[in-house]
Amino acid sequence: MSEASPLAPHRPDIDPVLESKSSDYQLTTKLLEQVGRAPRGWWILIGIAATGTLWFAYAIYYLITVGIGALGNQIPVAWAFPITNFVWWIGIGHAGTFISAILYLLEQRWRTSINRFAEAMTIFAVMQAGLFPLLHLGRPWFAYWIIPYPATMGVWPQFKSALTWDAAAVFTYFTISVLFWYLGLVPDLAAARDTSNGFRRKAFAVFSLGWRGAARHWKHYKIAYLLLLLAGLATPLVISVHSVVSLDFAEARVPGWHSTIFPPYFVAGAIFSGFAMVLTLLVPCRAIFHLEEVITPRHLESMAKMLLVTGWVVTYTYIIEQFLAWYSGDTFEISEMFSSRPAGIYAFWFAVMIFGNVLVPQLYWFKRVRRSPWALFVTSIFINIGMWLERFIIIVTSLYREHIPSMWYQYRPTWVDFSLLFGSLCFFSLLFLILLRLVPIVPITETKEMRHEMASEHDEPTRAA
Amino acid sequence: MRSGLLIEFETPDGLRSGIERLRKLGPEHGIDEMEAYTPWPVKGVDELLKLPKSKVPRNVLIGGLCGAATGYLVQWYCNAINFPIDIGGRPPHSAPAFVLITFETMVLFAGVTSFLSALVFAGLPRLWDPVFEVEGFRRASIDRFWLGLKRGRAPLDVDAIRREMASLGALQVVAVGEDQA
Repeated sequence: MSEASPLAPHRPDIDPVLESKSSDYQLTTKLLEQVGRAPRGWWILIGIAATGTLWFAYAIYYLITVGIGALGNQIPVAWAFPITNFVWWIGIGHAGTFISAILYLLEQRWRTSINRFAEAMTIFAVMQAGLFPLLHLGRPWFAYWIIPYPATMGVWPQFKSALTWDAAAVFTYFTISVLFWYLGLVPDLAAARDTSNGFRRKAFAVFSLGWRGAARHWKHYKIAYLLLLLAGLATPLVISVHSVVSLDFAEARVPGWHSTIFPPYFVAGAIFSGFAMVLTLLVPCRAIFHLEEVITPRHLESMAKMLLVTGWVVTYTYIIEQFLAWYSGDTFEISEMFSSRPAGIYAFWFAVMIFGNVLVPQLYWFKRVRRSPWALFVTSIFINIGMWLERFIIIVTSLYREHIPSMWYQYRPTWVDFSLLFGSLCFFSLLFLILLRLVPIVPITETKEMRHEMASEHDEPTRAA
Repeated sequence: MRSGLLIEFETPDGLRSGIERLRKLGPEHGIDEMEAYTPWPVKGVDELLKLPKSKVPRNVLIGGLCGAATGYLVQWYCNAINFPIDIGGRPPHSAPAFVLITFETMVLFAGVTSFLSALVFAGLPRLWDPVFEVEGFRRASIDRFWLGLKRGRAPLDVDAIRREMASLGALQVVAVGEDQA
């Protein structure tokens, strides 16, 4: 038996997480290049995104002035598109936190190049998500009623309702994500300051807070960033947020919702859809900004593997969901799970969901698919669609066939519903594209640090550095 | 750093050996407090500089506990004391229902405390510092490792330091702040 040395310099069968052979100086300037440089593709994309965002603004204006009746929602299907969009966007956000927090705890080095990217995705996705419950209120100007403040009427929010839990969870999640992301950005903004001149230098100087990289800075920074925000706080947070969201459903006595599987089911789905969205965004960005040396096939492959794993967790929960419905012996649960979902009016969309979430990820068994950026791009879009449909199916098919036939109703979305969904996609893209021009999207400091660590560990600079 | 000397190194190893050598030179050459400026956290520098333990974790613990207490007390006061609503005989003070928001406020307070204490302990934001005036110091955030020597009570023995540092491969030794000019 040949014994592999525990300190073997490298494994030839694994791609490096970093292919750059340039010096630290070159790497820094290379990674900063994307800030302030606009390739043609960027202008085209931002044109589309800005137009869509204007349409989004118009749809919101229409919805608020006309009222909630502009949407297809109607009792008993009172939730429909807005809450589907909310759950979908929140779920997408989770992959960002997963990559930066949980993969850090698991010491997965490939996370370094993509963690800022994923965190930015989290923040913007949570922003989109937050809009939908607000719009769904019908009178969004009363949204502040959810905050416990001493009102003249002497009433308080009801904290035994899942709605207040949701507000607290999403607000905390957003705040922590922003702080965490910004703290991680500070040393890179300092690097941006130190490589630029004039107005840009002044702007970066302000946002880098005068970071000097002093040992005293690093000491407190590391502990705040790595130990506390990241590992200690963000990890339970990412699990809790989608669990709380799922309780909005599980608390209700609606067939198809009232189940204890919901919290883990939602968390798995969230991470699954989030990884798909990371790929959807990463593949074009990598091509447009030529980030191949820091985002290597290794990253793409690792993410495809994550999709395969989380895809199977989702598949497993689909099976368990059916099993629990059958095992409960409850007529309504059985009718919901075995007839109105797979064979009702929305049977086609149910089939599309199964195709996107269960069948498409099976392609990732093949190494060729896992290593092909454009195959990953296309499959990730199917997964995004599948995961959106999953939430749609959970919400609409459970509500449109409730306990008594007099409550049955066929839901049809209106143009406002579709405008809000596609508008939010455009708004998300717009924010993301603007960000690409403002901050370095690959963490420069962490990449350099990792490179030096690898070089000193392996003692083989040609490969690591 | 108000005034003193800045020494530039090309590698983290150079920086580490620089700190050790200066420690050996000791106070008779005017060496008092040192600081390192690096593009990424270099291992071992904290120990060499004998930095005190960070108090961020302690603050975060306090912040988290305050957050949990605030979250729970607000819910309890609102729903059990000031405006209890009887819904099907459920208890107004219902701990299981209050757990989630308590957890969220705990994380929120702890996270914000962590962020703010890191900034306050590091003395940030502070947009200008004399070290920024030094030619080439920009590379401290890119690929160079600088060692700062603060001027203490005794004057720095610049010539001896210069000699020692050059033997370690330091790229330059420059005066900073009031010592510049």
